[in-house]
Amino acid sequence: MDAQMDWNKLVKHLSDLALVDLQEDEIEPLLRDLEKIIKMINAVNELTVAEDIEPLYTTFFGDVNLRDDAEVGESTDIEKVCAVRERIENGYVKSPRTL
Amino acid sequence: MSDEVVIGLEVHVQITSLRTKLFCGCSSNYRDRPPNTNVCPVCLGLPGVLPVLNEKAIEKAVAVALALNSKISEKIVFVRKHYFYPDLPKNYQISQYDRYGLVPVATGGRVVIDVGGLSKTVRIRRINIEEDTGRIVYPEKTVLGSKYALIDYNRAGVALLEIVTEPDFRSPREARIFLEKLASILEHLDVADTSLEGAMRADANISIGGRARVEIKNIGSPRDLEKALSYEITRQLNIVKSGGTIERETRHWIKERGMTVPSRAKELEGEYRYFPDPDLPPIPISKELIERVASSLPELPDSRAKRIAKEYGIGDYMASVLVLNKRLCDHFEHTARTCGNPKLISSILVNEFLRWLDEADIPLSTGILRLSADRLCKLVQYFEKGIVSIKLLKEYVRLAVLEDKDPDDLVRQGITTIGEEEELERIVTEVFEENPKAVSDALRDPKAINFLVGQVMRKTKGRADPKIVNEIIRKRLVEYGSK
Amino acid sequence: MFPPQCSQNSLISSLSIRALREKVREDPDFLFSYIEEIYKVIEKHEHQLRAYITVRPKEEVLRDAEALLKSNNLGPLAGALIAVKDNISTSGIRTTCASRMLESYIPPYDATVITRIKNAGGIIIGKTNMDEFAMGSTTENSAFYPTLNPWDLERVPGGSSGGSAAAVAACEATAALGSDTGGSIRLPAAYTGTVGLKPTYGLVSRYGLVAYASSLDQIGPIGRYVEDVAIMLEVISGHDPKDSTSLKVAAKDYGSYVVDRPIKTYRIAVIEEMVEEGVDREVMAVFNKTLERLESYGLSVEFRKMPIIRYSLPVYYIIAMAEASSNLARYDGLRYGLAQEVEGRLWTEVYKRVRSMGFGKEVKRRILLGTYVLSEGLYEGYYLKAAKVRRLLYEEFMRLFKEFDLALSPTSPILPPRLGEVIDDPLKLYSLDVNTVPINLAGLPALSVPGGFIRGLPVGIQVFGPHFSEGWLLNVARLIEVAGK
Ligand SMILES: [Zn+2]
Repeated sequence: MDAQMDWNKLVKHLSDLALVDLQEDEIEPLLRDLEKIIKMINAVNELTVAEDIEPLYTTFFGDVNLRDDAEVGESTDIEKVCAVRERIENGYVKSPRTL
Repeated sequence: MSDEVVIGLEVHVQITSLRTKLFCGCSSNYRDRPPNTNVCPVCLGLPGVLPVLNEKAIEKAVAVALALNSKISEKIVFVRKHYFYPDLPKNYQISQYDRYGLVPVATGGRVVIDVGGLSKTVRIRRINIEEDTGRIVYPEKTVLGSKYALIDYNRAGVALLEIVTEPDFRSPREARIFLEKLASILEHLDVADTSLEGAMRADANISIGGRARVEIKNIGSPRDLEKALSYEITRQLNIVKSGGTIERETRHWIKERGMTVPSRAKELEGEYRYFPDPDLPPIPISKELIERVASSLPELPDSRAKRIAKEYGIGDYMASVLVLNKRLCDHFEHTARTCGNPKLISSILVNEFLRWLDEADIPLSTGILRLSADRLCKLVQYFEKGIVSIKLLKEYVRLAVLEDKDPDDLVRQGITTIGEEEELERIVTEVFEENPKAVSDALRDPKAINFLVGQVMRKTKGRADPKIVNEIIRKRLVEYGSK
Repeated sequence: MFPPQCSQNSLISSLSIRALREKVREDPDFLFSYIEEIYKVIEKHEHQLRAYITVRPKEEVLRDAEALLKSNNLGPLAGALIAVKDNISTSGIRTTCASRMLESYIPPYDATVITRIKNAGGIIIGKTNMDEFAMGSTTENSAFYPTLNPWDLERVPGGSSGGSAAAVAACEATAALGSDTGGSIRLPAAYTGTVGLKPTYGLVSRYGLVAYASSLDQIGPIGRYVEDVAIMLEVISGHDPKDSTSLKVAAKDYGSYVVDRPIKTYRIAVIEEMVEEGVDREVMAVFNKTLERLESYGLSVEFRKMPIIRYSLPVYYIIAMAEASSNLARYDGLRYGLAQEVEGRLWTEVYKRVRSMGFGKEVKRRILLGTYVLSEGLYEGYYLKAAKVRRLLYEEFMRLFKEFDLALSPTSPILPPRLGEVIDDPLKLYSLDVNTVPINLAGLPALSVPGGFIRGLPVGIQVFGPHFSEGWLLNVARLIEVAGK
């Protein structure tokens, strides 16, 4: 991360990617914190790690559970699962326009 | 600048032979269900749920990898591919990736296709296992006319295989043949019923003469693939001709309008933020599993083509076309076994039947119902007995495929070949009298006979056997000449 | 020793799980007076403490008790009133994750741990306050209100499972469930004088735990007694086919490890980096005293250096924020959670609005940073690098536990902070977890047990060991507990 980094631009880009808008009063403190935190996490770059080190993505070392290809009868109507009636129209979930 | 066409494909196939979705116990057969009735907390991505892999999906993927001569990875590694969209319940898709030491289920591979008698090898880049999305519909039928969209999650989470080729195609035709062959392989493997709506979807990358690459999405069948690519080539060449430049872009194929249109440019395309899914640690693919699947692989199109060519004596080209569709080939074998004359049957199916299906965009299954084994057998018999000529036989096929006409009814209506020589002699006499100039032409130049044959055929409304007509005319000309 | 909210008039409110079970088996009606007693504590103190987000109506709980007695299912948790962190899915009971996003979300299904608690005779009493989506170390990041520390109402109870720990400490529940991603069970246990255990990764099903950082999250128990934690662990652990990362191991009789003598001559390690800079002198004094007591049992204690452990915080935050940004992508307001008018609006606009209104400051910060470390061109330098350092750290721990059976450290380097003291400085806030995050990175089991008090504030001792060493941890925790009495 070079010092010339345009933080405002970065935050805008990230908030577009993550679809999270920031309230006006959130931006200042966030910029301040972001710089601190990025500096903190940059510490991993001090460490040289051998090329052949396998990354460790999980500490689960057992056999991964698999499922038989059988219906378990848990499948049901969306209204019983989650969506609130107001958000449903003829069984469909209402969504904002996609265009 | 040359105008060489370079095409690559990304094919998505639902593993329709699975009973359940990829990561939950909902049915993989979502078709014809009321919206959002084939869902559960897992495929709706409720807070706190976890995916558990359908074990059978591994076998299916391994079978496909073996059939495409791909290298199977040692383990299955799932990643999360992030993008927001209303049809994607978790706003990430569980998929696979091939960078940073992560691996798809299989890499490499090849499929040999037959393009007009020449064989061509298409290289496979990789095979991914991933989950399907839900479906979006619009209350006012069109996107623009609707104030909101409606989502049906019944399809969300259905198991997909993504098969990516190298850019090895040089024409829309080649791409189409490949897609047909791939579909046939998947059918032979009992992985997918590609005839189901939406079960097989292709995205195509096309670049002409080294210009910018354009991606075409939303192509639903081999036939549409050929059409979409042909449309796109014409569109791009027209732009170039008028001095324009081709932009790198993504376009959508609109089947109903027969054209490609620009799709809304996604600002942040490519920022998928892949990383290994911590909910699904790597799953080893054992040698035993691979061996078990390999030893139980069914007969695949290539070996089937060799077998039927030999067994039925129908020639390699015919065989290669027939195996491009498992049901067609099944139909062929069944009919040939029932009523013999495989050469005629293969020729009818390849040269006539397929042509009409394609022209009228009739699904193969409908076509087979219309030109059933029973009807085909009768046609063969009528032909063999001389009741219909080869020309009329072709007409029968057309009427059966397009209008569901029964050959028996056609015969009953008297639409048969005129086999009685006396009747034909009489008509030839008529034609000779009406066309003295043509007769004298024919005496000088044997090629001019065709005109006279044509006249006879016209008078008989095509019911005459041209071979016999030809013989009669030649005989008559010899008589004339000696006079 | 309990805070003032407990047992002013009787000892009923601070009963252990076993004592309650025995009383209920002897005299079923006792359960009703027990429930009355606990609700009395809640009525009296909850308005101040604010440990809960949802307390189930007493009548409902009494009805559950009646049904329980009728079914005669007086299993290991018979009659125990279990407080559940509000990020664990409870069918029909609102599960908010202390977020505006899920303020009115009522799940249609029970987490596997909830099913197990019910099957063991436990009754859910309510859902506890927490840092929003478990992101925080003080429970001040709740979208609703902070929970206070029962020992000192001006201080935080720790987080993110602060509500669960405070409820248990203040006798507003028999025991509780929390979740621990980087210390979220152990830190509040330390700050509230309770016992909290984070199990080996994969020992307890995560099905139904609203994910924060999936490769680090584990559900675990919080109790007033080591024995209670052992009983709870036995109930909730074991294989679950609904979680791909659930280990296929048989349930253990963890209670049998809770004895007043060491069942093994443990070789105990202290990692120097965990007791060096930043650790409060008074906390160290309690810690050293604990070591002396353990030595008096004939156990050996040796100090070891593990320099790589200094990278735990950056590695932890890279991984946790990346996974969080992914796990929290699903909250778009369409199917559940905070809703927005959709007609005539573009989806990106609505999603942004929902997510901006639904998420609090810390959650947004972690989503944005998680998005940052996963983005094109930065992945290798952050996420991949962090995963490699995680491997090195893991291997260091494996080496350590070839030589030692267990290790000890102060759970937190400092005493419970005052409200507002650390919340505005993220680095100060994150540093509370400096001794707890390495454990999650390696998937190890760890617990926090009270080692003593300083000016009326509890000090937690962290005991950790190799995978599946929960039994030993409970045994040593019991030794520390006994000494504290
Ligand atoms: Zn489902």
